[in-house]
Amino acid sequence: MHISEGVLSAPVLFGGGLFSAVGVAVGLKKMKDQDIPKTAIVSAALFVASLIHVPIGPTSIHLLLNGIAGIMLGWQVFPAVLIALFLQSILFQFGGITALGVNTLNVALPAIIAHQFFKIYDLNNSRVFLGTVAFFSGALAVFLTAVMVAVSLFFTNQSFLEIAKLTIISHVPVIIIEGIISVFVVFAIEKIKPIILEELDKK
Amino acid sequence: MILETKIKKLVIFISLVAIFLSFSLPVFAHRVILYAYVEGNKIIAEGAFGDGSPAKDAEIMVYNKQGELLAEAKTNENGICEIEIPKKTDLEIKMNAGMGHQAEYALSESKLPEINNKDAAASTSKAEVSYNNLSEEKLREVVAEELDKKLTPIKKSIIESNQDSGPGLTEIIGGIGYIFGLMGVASYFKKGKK
Repeated sequence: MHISEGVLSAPVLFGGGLFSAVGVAVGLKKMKDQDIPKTAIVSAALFVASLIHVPIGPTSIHLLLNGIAGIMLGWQVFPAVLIALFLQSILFQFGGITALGVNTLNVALPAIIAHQFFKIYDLNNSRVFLGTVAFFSGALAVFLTAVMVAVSLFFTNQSFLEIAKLTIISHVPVIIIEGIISVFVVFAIEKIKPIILEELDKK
Repeated sequence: MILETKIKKLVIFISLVAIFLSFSLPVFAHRVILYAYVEGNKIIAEGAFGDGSPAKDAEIMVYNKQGELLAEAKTNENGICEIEIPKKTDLEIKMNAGMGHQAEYALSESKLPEINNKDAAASTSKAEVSYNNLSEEKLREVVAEELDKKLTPIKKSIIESNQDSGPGLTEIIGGIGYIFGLMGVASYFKKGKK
């Protein structure tokens, strides 16, 4: 999500920045050597995903891919999102630099929640169950991001319910699309690189 | 070692996919742009997203330099909205396209026509018209009106040409390059610790 420059009030910007900084610190601290390429790949995917525009709904919306990013990365999703959003902000003028903290938090925190949710799957479960969990992780992350954007905007002068309705309804297509994408990606991971799922299972 | 080659293969595969995606996709942007120009005694404000799709039903607010709200309006289906010039002063136009999308445009005082004089001119010209069909004031007014009409498409095309067509290939490839560069830096320093 890209909240523009000068929309949010100072406390929201500071709060978002602070929480994001904590998240990035945790992510970097927990990052092992072998996580680095994975984090970079996911970051690149997040960076490009925003260019894929979903031409349904009233405003301009695009893919987020934060659900699948969360599943693959865990806490490393914070640095990955930060880098992707920072580069989008300076190269594409998507979203404001000052809103970077809030935007990072809005994307990365739901990703972590999706990660935790995805853990209800363990290797003994069926593939159907795996697909279902993947779908809901992807969908959940986008839904929560929409809610968090609404919460961030709540602190400006508009009424919360109105914004929440607008952001969530306009994200319904993305929620469904991301759910489906998550299923495909998780099945691909299961085939190409099952070690990611095995590691998740261990943790 | 098998694992390492697998990782390598995956990295190459995903980079290729990313590059392929950036080639094949029409490039869309998620940026909000607001442009405004003067036509007669109205400000025409046009809002759009970076991909050129109009910002419908967006709120347009006109502020003066002190931040006081002077006028408000909403854009139509084409993202266009007309506002009467509230005051001849430096104006700051803001557009709120919902969900945190906001853009600004400044119209300086020098770009605005004399609005107060116009009313006066209109009344005097009417009086003059009665005995002289083509008074200078009337002529001026007519010419200005016609010019505005004729110039509107040109103004629009200038505005459109100023509008970037969103992020290009250079930015996309560049951004991906940065990310992999950072990955290199990160691996270098992580390895150095051991």
